[in-house]
Amino acid sequence: MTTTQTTAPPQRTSTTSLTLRRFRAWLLAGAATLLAVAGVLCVGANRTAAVATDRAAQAAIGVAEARHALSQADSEAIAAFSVRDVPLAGPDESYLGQISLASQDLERVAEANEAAGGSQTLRLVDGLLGAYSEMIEQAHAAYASGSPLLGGAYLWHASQFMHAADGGILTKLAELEREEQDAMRAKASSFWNRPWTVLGWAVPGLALLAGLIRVQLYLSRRFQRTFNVPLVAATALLMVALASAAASALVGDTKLTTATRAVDQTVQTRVTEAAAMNDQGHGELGVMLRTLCPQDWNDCGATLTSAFGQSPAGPPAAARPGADLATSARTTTGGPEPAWYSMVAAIVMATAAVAVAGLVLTGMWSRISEYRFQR
Amino acid sequence: MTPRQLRRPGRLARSLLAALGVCVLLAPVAACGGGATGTAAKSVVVLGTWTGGEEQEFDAVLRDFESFSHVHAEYQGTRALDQVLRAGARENDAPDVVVTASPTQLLRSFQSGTLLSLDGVTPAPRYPARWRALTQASKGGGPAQRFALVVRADLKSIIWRNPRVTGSAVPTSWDELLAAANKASAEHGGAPWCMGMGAGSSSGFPGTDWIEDIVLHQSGPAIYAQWAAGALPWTSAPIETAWRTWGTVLAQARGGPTASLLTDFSDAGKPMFATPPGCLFDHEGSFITAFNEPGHTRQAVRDYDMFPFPRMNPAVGQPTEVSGSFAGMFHDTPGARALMAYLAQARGQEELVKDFRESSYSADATVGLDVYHDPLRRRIARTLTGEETTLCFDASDVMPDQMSAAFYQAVLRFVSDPRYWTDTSRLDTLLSQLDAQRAPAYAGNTSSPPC
Repeated sequence: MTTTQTTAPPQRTSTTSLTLRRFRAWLLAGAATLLAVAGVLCVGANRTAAVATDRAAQAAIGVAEARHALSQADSEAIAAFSVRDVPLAGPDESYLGQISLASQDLERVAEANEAAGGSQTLRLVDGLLGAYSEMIEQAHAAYASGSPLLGGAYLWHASQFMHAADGGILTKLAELEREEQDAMRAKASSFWNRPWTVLGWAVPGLALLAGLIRVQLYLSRRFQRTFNVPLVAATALLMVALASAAASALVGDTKLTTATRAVDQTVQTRVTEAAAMNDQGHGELGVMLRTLCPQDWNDCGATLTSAFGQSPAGPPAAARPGADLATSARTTTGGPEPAWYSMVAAIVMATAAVAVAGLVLTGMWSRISEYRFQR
Repeated sequence: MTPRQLRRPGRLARSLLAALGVCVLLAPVAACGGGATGTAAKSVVVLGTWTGGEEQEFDAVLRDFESFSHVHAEYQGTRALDQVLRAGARENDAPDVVVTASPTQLLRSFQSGTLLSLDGVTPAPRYPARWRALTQASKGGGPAQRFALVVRADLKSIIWRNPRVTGSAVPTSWDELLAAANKASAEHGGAPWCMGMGAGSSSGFPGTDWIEDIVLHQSGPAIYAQWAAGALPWTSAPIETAWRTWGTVLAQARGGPTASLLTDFSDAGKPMFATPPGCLFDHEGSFITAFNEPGHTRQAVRDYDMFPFPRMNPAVGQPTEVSGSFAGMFHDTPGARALMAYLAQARGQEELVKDFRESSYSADATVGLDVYHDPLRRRIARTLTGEETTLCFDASDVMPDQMSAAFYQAVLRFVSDPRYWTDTSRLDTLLSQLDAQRAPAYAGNTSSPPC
């Protein structure tokens, strides 16, 4: 008996299914990476850029507005007490209005403060402002009781308190203003706001794009089909997303630079206006104190000669700036925030990542399903 | 290929997706974490009254403290400490450490429970009895506890002059001083007295110092203490006499009421050094030498000197008024404890003496006199730390805030109108107004014992 031994031919295993599944896995991984990076950038850019352009900018402008209002208040108080008969009525509503505006500005600064020691400085200024207001009230009471010398002395002490280079209210606010502007610039130049953060999502985005093209070339060769519509759509979508996100990031960067410059310019404008009012008030105060000093000006004390020189020069020849500046618009931050552009870029990329993942699953499904029963 | 093998890439993809999903969820958290602070370093926030040059000098002390203790210290100086503390109290936001000239302010905070005891926090400094009494008190009937440190001590019962003009003879009585002033004025020109009331929100304090010194030297420490504690009316004879006596001084002040009101206390003595001199004698505390211009070439004793406020009443002797700056701890933090411990040590006290240019003195007897570089400063330091002189603390600094503020305002009003100096009924009206403030100001309030 002979037996015939038959040997089964070696089973030929196709690697196509495995390759397709691997391609799908890597494309999905690429999309997920892009989604993750977009999430990180979205949060990072939103936190830092929003703070830079919103909170810190509001704080810096708020301090400048408060300085402006207080300079005007002091100037108004001096003007009120310099005019015959007005002292009986005391500082007018304009003075009280400016003090009220300054308090509101400082409350706004407290809410938006970004400077390290800002809250402590604001507490100091709050106390100093209370002391200043008390001195102005004392000046009013003294004038009302028929003592112009005592009233003038209180007004002089109050004005010194406002303008003193060592610890005066305006000096403290100028320090705080610098700190808020420094904080704004630090946030604006932080990691999340630099244009090269584009690379953070551009690298995984381009890698995913390369992957999509590679897969389509493979499918084209392996299945003799020129186009896989979902993958073509994914490729086009990703290219559009990359281009629009890059544009958004660049526009955002430009906007951020413009916004910080605008804040600096606004602050500088208010500071210049406040300086003009300070000069005006100082000049008027000198003239008023000169009337209180019946003897030789040099005998009226070293403090006055140090502050006003050998003879008070009086206010600048130009028209009283306070009247014009009182009507100048108070600044509020507005317009599209630069952070918005960074967020748009990140959201576009995140949306594109999710859409690409869906299109990859759809596009690869029909090819992979052809091998569903292959063992 | 087995089904298991075929499924492997799917699993891999799912694993990768899961991992990346976690990343997506955690990434924003990680991004948020980037801005968070790490472990909070030890720090302390100090609020005090020194501004400008004095602020820089105290900052130098704090830099030494930082290098000594590795605690970050931040100082905020304000000329309106009371108002700032009130604002802080409204917001329940007190600084860690407060430095104030009013021991009464700290005493009340201690008794209300907001200021903390320093027992067990710092070593006990070697203060003379007067300074000890100002820095400790009992609470709720318990034993006395330390609640403040003397950061710097100031001598007030002194009169400054330019010895090149006035000579070096020390007047031993008030009448002798007035005679010397008039004589020097006739010989060299210049008003006998320098005067300046300006001091920001504390304008008027140089006048309160004058009246306090006169009360102390005319009527003695017992009357002075009663008056400061609110037990003696402002219209009583000793107080009214003191005001009238000061009126005679004001009548001889440089520039009259106008200059006296419009000149800062720190500028008042400058005309002593003009040629010819604008004024001859300046009643100011020991801190006034801080206002010598930096880099000045004036030499103590030779170019500027002081002598004690002279006797006005032989029965009283020669008590001395002092003032100071006191530190109290409002928050029990490691940073605050470290700073208080530093300020209580010889190192901290010596650093204060060194860094405060020519103007700071220690009340701690462990600080040797050799840290003071000239004989004038050593003389002042010896008086501040010696037990042989009767020291009485600045009355306006132990009075309740409301009374103290009214005192400042009354001084400015008194200076502004010479009729107050001579018209007794007018002065009585002013003092009656102060008496009207007395009852509400002292009601339910304790104050530090001045003598």
